[in-house]
Amino acid sequence: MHHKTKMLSAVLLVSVMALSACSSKDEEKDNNASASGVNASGQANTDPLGKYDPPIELHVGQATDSTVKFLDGESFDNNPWHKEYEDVLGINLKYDWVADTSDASQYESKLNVTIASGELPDVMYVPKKQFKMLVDGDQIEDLTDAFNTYASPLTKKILMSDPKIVDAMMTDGKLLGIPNVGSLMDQADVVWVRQDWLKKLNLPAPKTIDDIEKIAEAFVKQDPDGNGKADTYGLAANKDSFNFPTAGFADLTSFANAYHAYPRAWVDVNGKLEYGSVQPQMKQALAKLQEMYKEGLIDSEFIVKDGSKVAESVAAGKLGLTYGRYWNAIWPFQDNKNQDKNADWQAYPIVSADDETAKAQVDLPLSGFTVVRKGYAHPEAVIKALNLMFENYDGDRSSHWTPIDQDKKYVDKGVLLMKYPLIYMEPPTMNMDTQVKLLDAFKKNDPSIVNDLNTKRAYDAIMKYRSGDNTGWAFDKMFGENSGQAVYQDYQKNDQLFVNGFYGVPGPVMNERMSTLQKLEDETFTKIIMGSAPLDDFDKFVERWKSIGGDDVTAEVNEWYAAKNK
Amino acid sequence: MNKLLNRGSVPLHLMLIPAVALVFIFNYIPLFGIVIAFEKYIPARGVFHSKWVGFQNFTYLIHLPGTFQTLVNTLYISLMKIIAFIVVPVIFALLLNEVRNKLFKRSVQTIVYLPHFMSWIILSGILIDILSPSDGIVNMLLKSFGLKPIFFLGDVHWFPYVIVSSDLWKEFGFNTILYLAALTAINPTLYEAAKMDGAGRWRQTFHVTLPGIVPVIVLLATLSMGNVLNAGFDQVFNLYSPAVYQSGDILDTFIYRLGMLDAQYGVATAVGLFKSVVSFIFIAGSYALARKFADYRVF
Amino acid sequence: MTKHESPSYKLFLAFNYALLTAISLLCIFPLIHVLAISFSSSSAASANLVKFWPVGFTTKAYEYVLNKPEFMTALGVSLKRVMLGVVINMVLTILTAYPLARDPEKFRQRNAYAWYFFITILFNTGLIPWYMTIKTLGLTDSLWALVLYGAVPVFNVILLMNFFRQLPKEIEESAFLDGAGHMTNMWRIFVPLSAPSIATLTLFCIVGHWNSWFDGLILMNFPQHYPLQSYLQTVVVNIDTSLKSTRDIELLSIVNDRTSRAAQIFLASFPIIAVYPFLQRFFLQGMTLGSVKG
Repeated sequence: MHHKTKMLSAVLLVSVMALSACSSKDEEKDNNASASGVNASGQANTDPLGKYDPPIELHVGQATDSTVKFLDGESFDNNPWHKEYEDVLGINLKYDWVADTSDASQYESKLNVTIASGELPDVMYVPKKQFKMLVDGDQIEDLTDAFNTYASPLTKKILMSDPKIVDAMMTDGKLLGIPNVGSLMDQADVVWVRQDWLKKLNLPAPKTIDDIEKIAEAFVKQDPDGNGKADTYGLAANKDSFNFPTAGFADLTSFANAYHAYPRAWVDVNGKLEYGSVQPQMKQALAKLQEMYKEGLIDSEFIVKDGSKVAESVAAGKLGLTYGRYWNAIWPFQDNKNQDKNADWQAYPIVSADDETAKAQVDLPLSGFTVVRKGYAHPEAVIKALNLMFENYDGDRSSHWTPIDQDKKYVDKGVLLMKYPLIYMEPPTMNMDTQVKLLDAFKKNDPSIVNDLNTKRAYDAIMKYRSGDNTGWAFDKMFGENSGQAVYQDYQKNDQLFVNGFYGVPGPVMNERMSTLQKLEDETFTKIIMGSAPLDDFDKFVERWKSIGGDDVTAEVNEWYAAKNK
Repeated sequence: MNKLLNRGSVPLHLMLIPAVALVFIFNYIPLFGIVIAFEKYIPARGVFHSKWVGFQNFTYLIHLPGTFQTLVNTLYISLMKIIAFIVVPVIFALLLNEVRNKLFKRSVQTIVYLPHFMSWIILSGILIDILSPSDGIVNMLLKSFGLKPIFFLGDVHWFPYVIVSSDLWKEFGFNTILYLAALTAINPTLYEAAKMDGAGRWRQTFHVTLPGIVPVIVLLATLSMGNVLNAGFDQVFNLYSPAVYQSGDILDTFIYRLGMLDAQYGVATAVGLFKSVVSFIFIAGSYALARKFADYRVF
Repeated sequence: MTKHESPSYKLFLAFNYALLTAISLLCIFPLIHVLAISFSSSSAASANLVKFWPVGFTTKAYEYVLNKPEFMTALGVSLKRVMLGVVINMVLTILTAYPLARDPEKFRQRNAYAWYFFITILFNTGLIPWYMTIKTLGLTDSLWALVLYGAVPVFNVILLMNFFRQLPKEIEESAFLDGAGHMTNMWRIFVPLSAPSIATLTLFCIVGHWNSWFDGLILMNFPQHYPLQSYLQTVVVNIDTSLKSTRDIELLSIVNDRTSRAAQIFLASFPIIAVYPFLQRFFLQGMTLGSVKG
């Protein structure tokens, strides 16, 4: 699969370059054209890292959070990245405002008032919702040409590695902002089990949904924590279990995936997109969940607990079975390890309820865009900044940049320079590459293989763990053998990802109806699982869903789908 | 004499000028935003150039399934809160007033004000534990009386009462302070006169204390009508779940979820306008009642 | 005193003390719980193992919050805000309540003014108009933004107006006879007599300014300008589904850190608890009515 993607991108790049001689600048709305709309050109005076002389100013609206630290005397206006932009690109960053993102809804309010006031900084990052506002209000620059002309080969390679993501980042065939692209694979759930409990109770590794049920039952009834009390839980679930994309811990979405049901996602059924939650497979998933709840294999109070409340049970050593992301090892499992040094968790691929391999459902990891306000004289400055960032961290300039980035004075104080650049992104395959490199380095006992920051961080932590320091345990479970990322390698090999079929901008019908439809869905599923409604209420739910707007939303989604596939 | 008192009008107007100006700037000018309730508002176009849609935001809401239930839930919870938030603090203030020991009085007064400072994020975690049907304190007590455990936070029937009582716990200290202050303003000579007439403590309470604070009670009751459609977003948001949407989904949480995908400024402002109009009606009603039955002008 | 009290009253008193103690305990136990969490180790707090005594005692949460220079900066901003804000609030409250307490017969426009102020309690058009007004005045990112938009607390004005109205008419009539004008009447007579209500309202203003955090986050453009509660909000990270890049991994290890949240609550409420006893003196005083009789 890895090879296939690489081939695909190579073919894409080559064909795109071949077309560049004859493609026009007019954008068409279909898939192929949008890929060729962003093409490489070879003009001589458009150096991807060309310096502005005289220097230009770039006003920034900056997001920050409590992990952003500065050495004494340094700040956003005064740090190695600020200097780098000035020295290399002749860009002088000025900060119009710095807003904290710790509380997402308050950050959103700050963005909303900024947009409403009409006084936008030259550059800022906005989540999808605000991006749409800016697009509707025609307040941002079209970056298509700037990207075509100035993006370096490395930038293009990283951003355009997945055609679906390329499609999702375009708006009407135009690139209106630099997308913040994450890793598709990192969105997938795995099955996490308390390995020490499995061993203690002599249970096999989970391979089918029945195994999951057996493990849940054993964890509830056979006192795995050995304290003589029936106080351990089975399968983890929380009040937002069917939200999609999920919060990434105690999810039930991937449980449903065992039945090839894809709640809240859109599935292609005979050429049209249908809503996953109202498909017959979902009923089977609910049936099993209802059964398990009745048997006490799911916490009877799960519905009032959010992720962090359920995490308490993990830290207290009462929960040993959950669906979640690869990073669950750092949170919440590390708290468990800190409390109990014998605790051990292991990641497994998600299981299926039949002979067909289950696919873990994921959403396209596009959380927002960096945008340039309309009227700014140098939109390509943002592209150059992006180029510089990639070159410094992942490209030819890394030998120059790494010593600065990893300077002892920063590392010792836990100051991360990667928080400072105008735009920061990681190659989508970074974690998977790290995992491969790590295993290689350990097998060959050759630390020199560890040659990038991400791998080094994991390597150092795992070495600590191996020498008895449990604070490095989480990294072993994220990147080592039998880790979350190791399971992702399997997913890659076996094509076990199901990507949400709809990744467009929500249209007016969806905006109007979706919240009501989801309320109905949440209430119905909750009642069925908890047993206060019979399983057959599912069918009534489907009828009602369709009649109060579900059919209309489906129609709107399919309009988008048809247009995309022409 | 009359002339003297009338001539004094000019200083009164002068005294009011700063407040009038500030209120005009910060409260009346932003009222232009009411227009958003009648528009399909796009921030870029601004308040005056977004598309006018008349009452469409309102009709959209009315036709959404579930709006009516949400309204009922909101009214039910907030009316209970309004009543509780008057009755309990008054009784508590009266009880506290009977305490002679100054240290005890001041300590209690301080302690009951403290829950006000806790946030619902942390309180929700505590409540989930206390009310847990398996090992929460409240259910342990119920079991010891031979009753069956109740899943308070997950039960449609109990949820509204949990909301009202936990908010009461958190905020009753606040209103108590006001009533206590009012109690200290009662003329001591009235008590002396009552005692001389042979009234014991109970009679004094009914004939001196209570009448003394009735104006404040009526005032606070009338003003609290302004919250008739505010059931407490922060609290409900942290405590509710799909299991109790039926009785726990209030106007504000409903609107919040509506605006998750796409900011629904027009609809949110329409709801705000609706809330204001309803509050106005309720307050006007209380005001009229107070005038009629107690001959008391609230403001 | 006890001569007038019946045995049933004495029983009631005993019951009263018991009841009030019980209620106080009910109010204080959750707080002790939160205090204990704030002094506990992070993993013990995450496991919800803390009841009323710290588990794995550590002052790390407070150090984490207090050691940052941002804390002291934010504290300074808050102190300035509270002092400026409360003075403005109370002066305006008194200045406004007094004329509104006049008899409409004697002050003809009184009702119009009263409605003018009262209507503002009812209508609130939301975040954007509010922000745009403040921004157009050029107040954003300054202390004045925080202090001016709420300068006239109408709710308090109405309360004080009602307290003023209950003062006996004889007091002001004799003052006027002595040649006092409205200002003198107000400052020299009404204010001292309304000490309990003014103290109460001052407390509310202090608490309001001290606790307010949302306005600071929206109106200020840089974290160095945040008042204390706004800063404390940023210390506590909420779990967020868009945690995607590996650089956000360290956010995960401090996400939902109970101990920071608990410390946040205490740092928020502590000063108020310190100030409250001073103001209580005024609540418990009766009216000094030496001047009233006759």
